[in-house]
Amino acid sequence: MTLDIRASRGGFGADLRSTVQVVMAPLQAAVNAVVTPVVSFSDGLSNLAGLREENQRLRDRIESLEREAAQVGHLESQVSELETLLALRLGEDLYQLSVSAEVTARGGTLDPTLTIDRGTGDGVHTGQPVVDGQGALIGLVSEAGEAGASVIPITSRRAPAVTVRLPDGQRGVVTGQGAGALELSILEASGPLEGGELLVTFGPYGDSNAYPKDLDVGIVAEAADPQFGTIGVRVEPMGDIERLEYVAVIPWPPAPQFRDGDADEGA
Amino acid sequence: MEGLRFLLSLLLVMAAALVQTSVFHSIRPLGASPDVVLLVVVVGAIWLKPEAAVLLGFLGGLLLDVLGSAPLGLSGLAFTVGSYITVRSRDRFDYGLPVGVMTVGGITLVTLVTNALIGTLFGEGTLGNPDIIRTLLLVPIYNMVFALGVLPLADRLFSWVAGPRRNRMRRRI
Repeated sequence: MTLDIRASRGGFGADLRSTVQVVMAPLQAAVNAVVTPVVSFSDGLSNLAGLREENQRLRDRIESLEREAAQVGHLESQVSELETLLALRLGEDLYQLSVSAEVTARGGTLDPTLTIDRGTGDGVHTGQPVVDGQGALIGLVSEAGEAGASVIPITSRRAPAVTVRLPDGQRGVVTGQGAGALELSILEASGPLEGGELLVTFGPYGDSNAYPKDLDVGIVAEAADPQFGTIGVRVEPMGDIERLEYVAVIPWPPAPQFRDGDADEGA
Repeated sequence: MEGLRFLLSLLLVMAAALVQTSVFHSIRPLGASPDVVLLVVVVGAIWLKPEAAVLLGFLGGLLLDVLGSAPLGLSGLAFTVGSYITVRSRDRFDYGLPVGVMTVGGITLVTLVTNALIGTLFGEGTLGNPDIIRTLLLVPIYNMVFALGVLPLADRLFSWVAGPRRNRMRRRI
């Protein structure tokens, strides 16, 4: 009954999956083309009452951000210069080469998989990281067909662990706990952890090269003290997987022309 | 006639899979959506012979498996269990719509729990998901709401294709 439990990366099961997804992808896109405007319209109607309040809140937020941007501007230039000096910055070319895609489908009731409308024909390949419109890490491409691909969210237990860096430089590992939840584990904690701290990807580390550096992963949900030198704490993901409509697939590991620079990064 | 019923059920399951993966990826009230594939499998299993019903359940689950990235056969096995329970309890659907709707809810719950158990056994950690209780509560409720419309519609559709179910059962008796 469990046809292909151990052969999910290849063989008959993968061929079957790829074929069915190729056949269903245009149908799913067609259904989406009909349904999405209706859903958006009904969403708009249901949110009409709150729009004025939301508008005012956003205006206040814009003013606040403009003030912050003015203060942060000169700091950014300094940081940019330092990053260049340290050769730690992810090549901007990688982001320029990222493939934007639309989320066209989800898996079954208990399957968090997302399906996107870009595949190997667009440069999307298995293992590449996927980010949302804000640049927050969403997941990894788990399988790629010619015209579509499956994305496994980082919140899934099936997703590979993400090595992350805390603001104080500590390194930890974030693992998916299922629907919308992440957990941070720090094995050699140097001190207590504050809630609200931003976790970003550590980048290439040891044998792991799954994610580029400095992608937003999540925010530590609560303060935690080390227990026997280790910390395990819940993390709120940065990306809202429930409401995702568009994503970008980052061409990582980079193509050879960009890999030279990354070799320096890893050193 | 049985072949025609099975073909009709299969087409409905495929349409339901399309709706499940595309429409209900954007419509998720309270973070869950109805499992329309399972609902159609249950409806089909009411009308089919036991062997065909179980095969329909397996194929419906397998279709969902191949459209996602879960190990192949997990939903297939769970839906097979769901269709088997439907076959064993199909008489409940003769007691009127309210009983039928509640039966759909019960079968949905058992199938989802089976899926979660098997998924956990195969390392998916489904039962450890923080949202699993919400999913196990909401999906059967949504399916029951949908069943209010789908059961009478299916009754008409299958009756039109294969004659009334009650007569068929009487003949068998």
